[in-house]
Amino acid sequence: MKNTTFIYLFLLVLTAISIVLILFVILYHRYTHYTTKKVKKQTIQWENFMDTYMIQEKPLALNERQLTRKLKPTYQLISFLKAAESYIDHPDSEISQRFVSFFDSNQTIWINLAKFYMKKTLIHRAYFAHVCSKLPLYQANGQSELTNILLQYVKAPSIYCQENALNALYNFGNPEPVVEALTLLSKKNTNLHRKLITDGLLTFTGDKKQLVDTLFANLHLFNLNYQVAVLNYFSFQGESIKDKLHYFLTDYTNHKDIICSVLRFYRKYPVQEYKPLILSWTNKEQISDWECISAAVSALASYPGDDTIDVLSKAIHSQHWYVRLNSARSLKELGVSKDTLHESLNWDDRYAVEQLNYQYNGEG
Amino acid sequence: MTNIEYIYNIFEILFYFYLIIYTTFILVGNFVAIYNLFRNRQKKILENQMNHKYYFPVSIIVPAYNESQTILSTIDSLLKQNYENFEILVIDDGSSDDTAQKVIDTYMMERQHQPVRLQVKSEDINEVYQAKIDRRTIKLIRKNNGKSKADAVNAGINVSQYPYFVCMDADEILQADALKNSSRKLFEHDNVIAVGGILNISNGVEFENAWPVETKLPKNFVTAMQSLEYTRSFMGSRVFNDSFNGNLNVSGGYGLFQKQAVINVGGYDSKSVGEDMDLVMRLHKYYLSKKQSYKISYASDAVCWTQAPFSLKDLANQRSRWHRGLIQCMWNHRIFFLNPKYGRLSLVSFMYYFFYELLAPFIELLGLCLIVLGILTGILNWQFVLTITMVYSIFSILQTLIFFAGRYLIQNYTYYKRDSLQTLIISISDLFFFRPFLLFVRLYATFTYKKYLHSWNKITREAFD
Repeated sequence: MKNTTFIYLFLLVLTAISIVLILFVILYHRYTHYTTKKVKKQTIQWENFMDTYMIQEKPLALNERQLTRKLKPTYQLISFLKAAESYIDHPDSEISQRFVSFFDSNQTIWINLAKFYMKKTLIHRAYFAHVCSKLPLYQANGQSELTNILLQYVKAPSIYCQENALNALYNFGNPEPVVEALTLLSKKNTNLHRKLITDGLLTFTGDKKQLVDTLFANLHLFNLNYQVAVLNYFSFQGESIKDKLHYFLTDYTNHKDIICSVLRFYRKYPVQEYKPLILSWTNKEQISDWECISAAVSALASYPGDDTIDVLSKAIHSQHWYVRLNSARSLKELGVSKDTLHESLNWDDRYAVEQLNYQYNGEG
Repeated sequence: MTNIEYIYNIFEILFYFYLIIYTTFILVGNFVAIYNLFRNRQKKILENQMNHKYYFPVSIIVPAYNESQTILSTIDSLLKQNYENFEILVIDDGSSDDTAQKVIDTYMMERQHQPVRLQVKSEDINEVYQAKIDRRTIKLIRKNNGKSKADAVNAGINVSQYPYFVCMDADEILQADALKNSSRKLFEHDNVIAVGGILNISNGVEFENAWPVETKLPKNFVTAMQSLEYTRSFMGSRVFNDSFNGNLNVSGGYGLFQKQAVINVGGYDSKSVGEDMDLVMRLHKYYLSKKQSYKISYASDAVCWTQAPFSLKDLANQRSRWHRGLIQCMWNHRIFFLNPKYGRLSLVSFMYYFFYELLAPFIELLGLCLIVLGILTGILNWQFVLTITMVYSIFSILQTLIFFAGRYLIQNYTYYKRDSLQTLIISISDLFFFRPFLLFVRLYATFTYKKYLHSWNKITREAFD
């Protein structure tokens, strides 16, 4: 009897919990419905507020303190950002300028909000950082208080918070805090995806050459993951340092990810002087990683010459698929005709011939 | 106390134990799932997402065997993906209908002589056709019939050029944001080797540019029941298991994989009937034994719409096949049985599958027989049995209703009043009709395991709306 009563009560309790769970789902659904409406209404209010200032050029209806207080609830911040979006990159330069100067002259609001959101949950903190990454809160001149707070956000144990805070720092346009943030994450061994870092660096709004130089000067501070991400970034913006990266290729003990990244860099920014160095990566006995050979033969597409054709004609017989593939692609890119290859190529190698035919017929 | 009463007492305790673990697991699972879904929704509202312009290049592999009816709608939905960098590979697995010709003609494909790198085992590839539609590459691979989906996907892996691939079916509509939402998981951590998504039933749903515009529950009773069953499963247990990296399956209907990881374990096993579950279990085993960090993730906002069987006969065929696949998988991977070396994956996920999926038909049947016998012999009080059955039924109906409500919360679909009533009726009939029906299907599948393990009954398909 004891058993039966227990199981009966047990099931009743679980049923009661289930009802609470359903009620929660329904109430939350109603709540999100209500907040969506609220955000729409608030967005219109903020649009009016901005129109008055940006277009009608009237003084601000609210002072800094009032604005700070009004923007503290997250849904107000969402509405504000939605309203501000139409002014970001506005085609009218005068309005655009007024928009930027609005943020320039009201820095205190954002500093206070940053402090306020610092005390909130990670998800809200991440959202505030997201807002900072969208608005023209440029801090290119010196390390500001807002920058320092965002650097604290980078330390948060949430990938969204880290990522959004980094985006905000890219948006601020000052290279020093960007390097500081990356160093912080690197030292903590935070597993931020390489592609996120490279992609993020590309959105940097400040002086890109200065960013490249600062990153290069501090490259030794980063761990492998961050080094490779930064080197990948150089492949997009690194014209100014093309005379500085070759030393990575002289050390065969360097990690293959670094070597591949630098080889890709020299494909994009060819320096003929380093051609022998790149050629050396195609046939060294010390090289056990086919990835390096593959990247090297790909880089050779930017280094025409008989020696290049000679190396590529040999590489096309490699046992590694990607080496054959990249050799064929490079030969085609260099405009080497099949006739030229006729003598140096072993036409009995079906794998090589298939790959060449595929690339030369324009199918690859 | 007589001997019979004594035996009944023992069984009673065992059944209560079984029921307590089951209901607790279901409720805790649902609680965790709702909490996670709630968090994801908050994240979405607050735009705390990895909305990047960079996209992982993905090869979408669509194995097709006699799918002439649906293949074009599937490819069209893929072309409307809100994603930058992907190729579509349709693998015609030696169809006897005009699947391949339809694809070649519609997209004006030309024959290519692409060298294929054989990285995993598959039947011979005969021809590769290619076309470019809106900067997207579509390839059609014609191969000898490999008698399994696994073999066709392996051929796709060999032809694919990108480091990630999606495996899906040829009778599905991939929601426009599915690829984007699932690939976001790859950014969250670089140890993610696979990402599963939600499968929803497409029967009766209308689509526009790969977006569902009318999401009413299907009028057909069989498909409507499956629709709720899928919601319960994909929004409940998968989300819960994801919280401890314990998903034993990334559904064959939609899964995003890191190609190298799949190559590492030798690709799909063409001898396996439940090839999707088998692959995931091998991935778990491989990475755990190598002590490498990995994550098999689950994206609750990556939605793929699939056709469900709309007759009981087709449903029985499909479920028998699934159950045989489950038996095969659990037997092949019995190393996970109560093995502390594999942690929660073994002690929670595998054991749950063992007791509540594999053995469930037998335990449930035994329970039913004992209850009937007990009432007939007077050992059991029928009033008490009725009360417990009623309370359990209410509990069970509530679990369906939780996720029915969750559908609107999470997936933001339009709410139809008719659906609430239909859901209530279906949840009740689910208990008294659908589950007993599936119980016998699974029993039949178990007893005919050896005889029909590799048999395949084609399910009737209809064109998409």
